[in-house]
Amino acid sequence: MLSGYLVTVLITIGIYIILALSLNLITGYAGQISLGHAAFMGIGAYTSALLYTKTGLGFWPAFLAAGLTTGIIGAILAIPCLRVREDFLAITTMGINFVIEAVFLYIPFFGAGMGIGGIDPPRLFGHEVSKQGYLLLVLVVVGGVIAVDRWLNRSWIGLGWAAIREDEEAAGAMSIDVVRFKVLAFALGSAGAGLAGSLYAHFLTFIMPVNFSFAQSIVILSMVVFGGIGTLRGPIVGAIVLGALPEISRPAMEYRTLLYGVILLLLMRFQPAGILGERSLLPRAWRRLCRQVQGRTT
Amino acid sequence: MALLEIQGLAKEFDGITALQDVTLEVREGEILGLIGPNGAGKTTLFNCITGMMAPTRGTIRFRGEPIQGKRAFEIARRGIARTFQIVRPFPMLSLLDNVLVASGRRRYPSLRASLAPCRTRATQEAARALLERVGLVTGHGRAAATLPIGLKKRLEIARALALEPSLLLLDEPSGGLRHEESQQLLDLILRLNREQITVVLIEHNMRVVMDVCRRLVVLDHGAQIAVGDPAAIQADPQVIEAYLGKSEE
Repeated sequence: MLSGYLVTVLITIGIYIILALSLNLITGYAGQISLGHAAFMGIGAYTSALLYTKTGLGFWPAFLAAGLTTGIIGAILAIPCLRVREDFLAITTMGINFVIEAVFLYIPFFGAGMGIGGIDPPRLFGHEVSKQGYLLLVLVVVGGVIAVDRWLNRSWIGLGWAAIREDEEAAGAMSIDVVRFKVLAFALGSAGAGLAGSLYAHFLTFIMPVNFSFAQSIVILSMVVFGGIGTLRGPIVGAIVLGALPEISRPAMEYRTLLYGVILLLLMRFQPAGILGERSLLPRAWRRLCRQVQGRTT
Repeated sequence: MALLEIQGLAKEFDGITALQDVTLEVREGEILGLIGPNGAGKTTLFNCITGMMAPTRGTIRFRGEPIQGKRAFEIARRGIARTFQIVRPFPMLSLLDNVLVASGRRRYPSLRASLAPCRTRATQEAARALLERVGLVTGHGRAAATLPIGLKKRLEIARALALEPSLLLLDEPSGGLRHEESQQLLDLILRLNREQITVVLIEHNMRVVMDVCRRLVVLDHGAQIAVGDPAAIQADPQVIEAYLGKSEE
């Protein structure tokens, strides 16, 4: 049996994987930088928490409603993002994060500074799901997100996103409805964050606005960039490494933000595509090794 | 019959008149040459036709239907494809994916059709055939950014052809190419034209224009100053003045 502490760490990492993959869909695949992903995680967490504590809805419908609501809000908030690109988009999404956090913080309906407590773990067949069971649930959701990610990446939607990321105007001239594809990316990416937020709320059983701050968005973005933006494996590995790091060493926990900042700076300078990007050092070395091994056996 | 009819088209940016009162038609099956000195408004005209810019005034009809002010993707879906003066293939996508992007034109309107896998054997074979048709026979998996300029221009044509266009707008296809490269490109354009694709060509190289175009339109300072066959255009005093300046007498 896994120890309780290890299970807690694994659940946290699983939730981060969902967050990193859903941000990667917006920023990696469709090329739309977002510095406000934690806001959507927050919308999911608050939707789920409010439905659970105020309406008496169970975990399962609240979980699905969190994904749906966040997806819809993501599509609506994509509209102000459509007219801006790159650095202006970064600032716009950052602004969205601050506004959403302020809404949670100042409106009593959302519990204001006190947050929302009393969010129980889900029940299955009349029993409360154990911590191990919850880890299993998180892993199932991670698997689902990976499946959707792979599907989209192989579809015309994934190809259209890639074209928009490369050259938005040329993509339009090649018959792609850029507006629709961008809104779709924001909606799906936000929905993923909403599901992660719901899992987060029911795991912690207590949420506060600060959990969904701009700093959290940077943590998620760091994971995507660290592993390799625009790939499937990159955000997963990024979430595992950067998620585990503060648990492995105490100093890493205390200087977490500093550590992430330094990692980001070093990566931007030496490995802008992340440690596992298509053209990064590690995958290239790995491919060379494979070729050598092949050469020796034949 | 006119495939494309442009009437009284004008485009102004912050007080600068890029196009004024341009009226012309592109006939089905022809290769029309669009010439004029730098800054005459040729590329702006392409941008207005393809929906990358909205004209200030005037109408553009394609197959009799007005298309002015429509967005680029809608116009592309109707069958007008273009290349760019400064080449812009999708740099980090493979040659094959560059072409595949445009071949999705019937899929993109429906969300359901867009969810289908895009790299099937059939779509990839069709894309390969287009790449081979423009002379890109190998290396379909490499990134477009790695190609030399001459091959990037061919890739752009292959990508435009994947839209199955009936009207192809080529913005200086031979610009920056060596003589034999541009000769090969012209052969390609003539071949495409024989396959029922109407072509409008912006070109600075007069030899090229005189060789392939039966009809020319001359723009200068955003206005249309002459229309006619190459011989008449070469003799037109207004055209000579636009290119060489007024003779002193």
